[in-house]
Amino acid sequence: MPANEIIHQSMRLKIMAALNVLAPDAHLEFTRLKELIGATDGNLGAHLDTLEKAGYVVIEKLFVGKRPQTRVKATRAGRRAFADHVTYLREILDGGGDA
Amino acid sequence: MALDPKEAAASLDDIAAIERRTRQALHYSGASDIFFLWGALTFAGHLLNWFVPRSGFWVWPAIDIGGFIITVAIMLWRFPHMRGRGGGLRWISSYLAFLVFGGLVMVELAPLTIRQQQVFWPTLVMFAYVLAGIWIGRFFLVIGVTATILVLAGYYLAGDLFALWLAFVFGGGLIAGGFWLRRSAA
Repeated sequence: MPANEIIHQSMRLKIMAALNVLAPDAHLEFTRLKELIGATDGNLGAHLDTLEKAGYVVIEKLFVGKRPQTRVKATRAGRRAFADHVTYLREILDGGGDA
Repeated sequence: MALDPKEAAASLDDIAAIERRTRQALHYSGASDIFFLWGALTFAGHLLNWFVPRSGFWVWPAIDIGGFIITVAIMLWRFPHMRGRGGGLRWISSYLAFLVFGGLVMVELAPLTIRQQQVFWPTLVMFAYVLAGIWIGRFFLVIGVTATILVLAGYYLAGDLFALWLAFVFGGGLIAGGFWLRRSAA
């Protein structure tokens, strides 16, 4: 199993770990995700853009009443890529992967 | 990209930590609605008991049934992953087991005074919160222990004001807990 260099970056790994916990069609609000992984607005935004370009997350901007809200969810491809990367990491620990 | 086992282990630890935090945040957020619901119901129930002491015979069964139905609806709405996986059935079974256990204890220890019943049910519920807190998050543990202490304090110290004590301290405490959970999960 090869490594996924997009997901492996520390902040992006945390983003995918958080989104992977949710039910398949569930979203996390931007502000809540930011607090969960300890990111700043700009930092999180940049990493989400990278993940979106890779097709791993979908970002939605909407209004709740009059308040703008940004929410994120993992795509099926993103969940699969994350699962594959976790497998890669475990294979290293089991002595079967790269070192 | 080449990783050594130490780096791989660190990444897996990071993943586990974030997954734990996310699950806890989701639990807290969903639980806040349930705290609001039962806080309001217990506040109203105890207040009614204070003004109409004999109302307990019909108020509490009505609260238990109505509150239970609304709780299951909230659980299925807030935790969609429970739908279709038996999660709702587990909650129903847990609630029924809780009621049956409590009922059996009441029958075996009968007759309990109204005051004893008033302390038994909240402390039984808070015991469940302590157990939940051991597994889900510290908040439930803290509220379980704190509420138990407050209920027992009222039992021994509040005299004739015990029902009012329960309304404001226990019911109000659950509502305050709901606000804290909502803030913590945000």
